[in-house]
Amino acid sequence: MIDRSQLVMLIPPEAVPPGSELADSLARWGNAAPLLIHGRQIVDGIKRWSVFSPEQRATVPLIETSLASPFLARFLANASREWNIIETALLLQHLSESERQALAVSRRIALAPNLLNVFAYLSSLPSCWARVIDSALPVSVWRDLGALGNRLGEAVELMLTLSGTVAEKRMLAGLLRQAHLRHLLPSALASRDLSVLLTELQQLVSPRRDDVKKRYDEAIADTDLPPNTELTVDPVFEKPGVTVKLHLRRQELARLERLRQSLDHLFARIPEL
Amino acid sequence: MLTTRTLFIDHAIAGHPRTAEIERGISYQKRELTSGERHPGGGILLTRNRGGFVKPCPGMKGAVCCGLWVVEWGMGCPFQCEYCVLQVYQTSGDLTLYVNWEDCLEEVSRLRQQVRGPIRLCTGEFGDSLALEPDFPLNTLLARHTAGFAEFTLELKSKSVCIESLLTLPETRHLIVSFSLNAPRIMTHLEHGTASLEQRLTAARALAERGIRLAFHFDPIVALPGWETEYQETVAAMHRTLPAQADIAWISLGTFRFPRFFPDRALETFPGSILFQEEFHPSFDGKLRYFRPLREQLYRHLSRLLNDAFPGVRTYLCMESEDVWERVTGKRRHSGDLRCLLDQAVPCGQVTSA
Repeated sequence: MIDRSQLVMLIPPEAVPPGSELADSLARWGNAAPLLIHGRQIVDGIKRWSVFSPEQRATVPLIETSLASPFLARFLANASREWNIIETALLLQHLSESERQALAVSRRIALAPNLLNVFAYLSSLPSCWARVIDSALPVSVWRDLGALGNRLGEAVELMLTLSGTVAEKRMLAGLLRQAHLRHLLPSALASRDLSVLLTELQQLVSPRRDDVKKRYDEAIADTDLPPNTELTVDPVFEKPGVTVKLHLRRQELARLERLRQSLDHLFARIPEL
Repeated sequence: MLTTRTLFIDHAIAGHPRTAEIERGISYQKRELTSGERHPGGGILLTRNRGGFVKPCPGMKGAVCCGLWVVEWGMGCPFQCEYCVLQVYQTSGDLTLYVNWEDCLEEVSRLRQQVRGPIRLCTGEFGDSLALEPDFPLNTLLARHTAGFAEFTLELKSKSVCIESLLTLPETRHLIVSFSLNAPRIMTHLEHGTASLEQRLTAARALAERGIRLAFHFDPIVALPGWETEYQETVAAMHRTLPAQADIAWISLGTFRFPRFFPDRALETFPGSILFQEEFHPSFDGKLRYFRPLREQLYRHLSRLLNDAFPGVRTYLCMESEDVWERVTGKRRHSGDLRCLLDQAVPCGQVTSA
């Protein structure tokens, strides 16, 4: 007979916050699914257990896993749903090498050393879990940060405190990684806003690209393009040339000559195009 | 003699006569029987190639492709080049060697029978062609096997000087021995365990004097500060060392490129590597490459040096876009054009053994 008051959770409930919908749903519809346990540990059903009423805790059916590893049992029981990054990191710490590989395949992540670095770091800092989970940053961002070595903590803090979109933070992580690789990372990263930091890092890691972009912008400003002309260039100038969009009416065909002259001028000023 | 901690032997080839032969050339501390082609890690694996030996070179989408055929004789390399992408696929120092050479030879014969026109076959895609030759003499066997094949070239690509067995081959008209070259600083500091520039060029001279055709690959060209002068030194050393009658089939140029997560693996093995100091951007095939105008500058500089030193030699860009080809050479080239250019270096001949 299991003493339910002695049950403990396999991973801290902070790693799998239940959200308000779960409590509402349990209050309204009750609980039908059993909890999966391993000895005194709740393997699966941690979210539910943390929001159960005393009565629900007393009556919820329990099933004991036959697997030796409770962590493997949790992985298998939850293989088909989305996981947050903290949950993934915590589980990875306790799986054997072959189980880790299986988890990596199931989560569609490559267990690169950088990712393992950042997982180990995040697992050791419960105080930031809620913010990490709330940020919903993709694995690619964390993997980039994992390359930052002794600047990792600073970068994680930055990522969690700066306000910006996920796309901006993805760009920031990539730039931080590149700057670190090239030993260009500024000695202090904080006290800037995201757009300023992005601009600064961009200039640090891609001076060649920025030089061409600056000259291109200046040339465009000096160019007498016909009205309603849109010019676009490859943002990293990998593809030479410009894409031109121009809407013309029958009586405006003379603008084509003006466009040609403008492009001549642009190509002459920017040989990289 | 090859040295390793553990020699793994696949059950499937344990009784193969060549296994014992190759095993005699390997010094190991431990011998383990295993199953399959998957390398257990930490040693040399002798196994059977259960797939194909001969494959078209995996040219990337968007690149002008030279249409080379490659032999997958195994994987791995005794050298440790910091820029080498093999690190992503196999732990540095680990080797996988296939011993069912009879299947390899049969596939090469079949390739000649089934594919019309010139064929350029190379063994340097999955590791150095010649570094293992004293203990794993597949290349010499292939050279003998393909002698007399019509419109056929076997290219052996190397950073080693293990050329002795080639010097005694009775027929070498179909053979091209190519050396990877680089700026002296790159060769010294980034290509661990390889032969020096002087050694490679001396080996090339010996081959040329024996009438064996040569090729050179400047790949990857690495843009470290001072690259202009450094590559000039290499080309000058080539000019100084190679005999005037040296027949150079082609010289390829390719700038350093890598998949997105390659630096993680490379820096794990070589934490202080200077490879990633330049500016890299995603390029036409998703790999990271130098800023395109810098690549063009590198290609133009090297092309000029090579054309001055070896007028009329065929040079080509490896794994580059049509745009870059056009901007560097003044002509837009497609994969078919490059194939034709290189095929012109393939000798004609009569089929005697295919």
